Amino acid sequence: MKRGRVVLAGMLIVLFGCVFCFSQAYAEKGVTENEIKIGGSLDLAGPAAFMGQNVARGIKLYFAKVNAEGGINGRKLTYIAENDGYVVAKTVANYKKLTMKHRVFCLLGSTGSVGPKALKPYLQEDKVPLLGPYGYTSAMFRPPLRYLFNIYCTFEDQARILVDMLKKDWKVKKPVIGLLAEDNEIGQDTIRGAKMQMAKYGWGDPLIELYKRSAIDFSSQVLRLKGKKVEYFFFPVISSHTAAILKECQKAGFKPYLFGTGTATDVKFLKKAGESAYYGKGFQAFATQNNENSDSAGVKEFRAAIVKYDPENKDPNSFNLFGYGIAKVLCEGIKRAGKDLTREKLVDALETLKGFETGIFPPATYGKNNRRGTNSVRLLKANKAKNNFDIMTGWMTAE
Amino acid sequence: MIVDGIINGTALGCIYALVALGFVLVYKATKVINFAQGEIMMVCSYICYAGITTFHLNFVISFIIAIVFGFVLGSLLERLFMRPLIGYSVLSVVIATIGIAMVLQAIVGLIWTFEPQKLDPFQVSPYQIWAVSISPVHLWTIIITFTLTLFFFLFFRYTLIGINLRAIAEDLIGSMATGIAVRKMFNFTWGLAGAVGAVAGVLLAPIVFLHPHMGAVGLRALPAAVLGSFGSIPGAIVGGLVLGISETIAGLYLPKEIKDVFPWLVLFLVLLVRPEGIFYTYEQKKV
Repeated sequence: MKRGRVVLAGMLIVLFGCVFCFSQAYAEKGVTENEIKIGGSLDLAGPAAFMGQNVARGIKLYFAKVNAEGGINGRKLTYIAENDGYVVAKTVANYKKLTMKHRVFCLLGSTGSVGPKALKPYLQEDKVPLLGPYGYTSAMFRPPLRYLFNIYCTFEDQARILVDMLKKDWKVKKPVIGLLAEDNEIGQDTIRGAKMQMAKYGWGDPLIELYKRSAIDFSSQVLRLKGKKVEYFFFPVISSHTAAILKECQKAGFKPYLFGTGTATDVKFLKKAGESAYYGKGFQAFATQNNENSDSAGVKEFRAAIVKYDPENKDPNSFNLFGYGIAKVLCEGIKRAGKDLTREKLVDALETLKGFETGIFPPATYGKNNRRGTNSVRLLKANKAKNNFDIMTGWMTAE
Repeated sequence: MIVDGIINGTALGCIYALVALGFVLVYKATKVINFAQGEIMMVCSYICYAGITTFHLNFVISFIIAIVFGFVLGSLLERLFMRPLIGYSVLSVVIATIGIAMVLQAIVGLIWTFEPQKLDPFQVSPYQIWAVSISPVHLWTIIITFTLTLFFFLFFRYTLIGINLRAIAEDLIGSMATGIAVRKMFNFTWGLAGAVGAVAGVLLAPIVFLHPHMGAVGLRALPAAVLGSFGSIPGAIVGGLVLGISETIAGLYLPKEIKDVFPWLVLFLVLLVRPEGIFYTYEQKKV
């Protein structure tokens, strides 16, 4: 009788042990045997809704593809996007809703860098990974935060790459470089990058003009830079402002080399800018990802996925491609983290990515103290005959 | 450079003036600040866009349709949302206009999505006038603004409706006592402001691109209306011009950080000297 009780107790201990171990294997929030819930706070109905809606659509596209192929380790991916209307307070509220109510495993994507910046202490405290914020500021990885993974070349790096390119590839002696940037953290990043690299070559400081996001007129800034005989003009700003600045240059008869950024590298941008994109020496832009019409393997895969899983999207754009790309990076991390998925294992797995090729972004690399993902861009130039951009260089990195 | 600055500033000022005109027309008659004016402007520019892209009409016809639509929309908003609020506090009315603005944004986002669209019927190379170049949209903005100013001057001075509106602005109770159909006049004013908003929107669209949130520009034009005493039509025009030119010239000659706040500095200075705005007229009453 006594022996029987001991055996029974032993069996119960083994049973509880099994249940405990089993429950531990799927104890991570947002992960069940069949599903991984991933969330994102994006602007779905505010001033940057076009960006947010399309990034979310690109993420869902990649998840649809992965799910159709059987998921990751037998688990299907679900994406829950919450609207923050580009308001930081709502981003924080959405974060709480996503992590506490929906109990998501991690976050993917954002609109801009201001929201994710506000989330930094929460991510750190709750140990929730966020991958792929759509932002360009170095504050996102300096200092590196264990749970925040970026995948975009900052404007600081882009400005440094421009200066390096002028010095090394274009063999320019002492250029007059003008910058027109938004009067915010991103603009300050651009200025810092240009100053840093110009000082390295003993070129002095760039000529700087600033504007507020709500500006509708750039004439005085362009006239001032024209008056100072700027030869190389860099304006890494949002697409509509880039088009407005190009028009202003044409109006003012200002013909320096014109450089923009990745927000202005698609066909729709050329339509907006019209003739001004080809004025003077023509418009060039630093692309942070491949064009949605390019022939790279990753982009071909993206287009094939659209035909198969999102046939209603007749006009895929760069934001769809960005969403698709960040989802691809996250899924690689989830795969590498293995069947026994936890947030910590995901972070460790992402840190093993070295030169990971998405075919969309420049090769992505993370490490113990590296959360920038990439710091490369390539130069494109508007081609009037093709009504598209020509790729002028390979991926370039600042020295 | 100074000549370029003045011309660019005039063009910018005319845009502010056109937007401010919409605020002023409604305020002059009804004493309501219509915070949905920017969104009415935005909706009308989308109507023009739809005329060109969806119905393949030419620009002039689409523009006229947008103006008519602006008039109808303004009148409808007054009839459906503003008239029931007559007699309620100013705060309720202001909140209602903000609500209308948000609803209009959402409707446009649903129909045309949030993607910025291009509406630029003037997209040709800039005109060269002596040593100064001016873009077609800026030139047309200046021409249309001054034409509208002349139109409103004649309208308020010589037409019966205009005289009635002036009477209402002067003395509401007296106007009612003399048999002026005040409600109809209110409705007409909202329609007129909607039509002016349509003109402003179509001229603004090539500069800021079509976007459901382009109505936010309306807030930049508010100082123009305040500067010109809010109820004054010439005041809105002069206020817009002062702001536009001062902003551009400040951008050329003052530290770069000053440009965007300079119009507000001008506004503070003017209001310190004349708290009622430049065009306020003091009434003398016999007792």
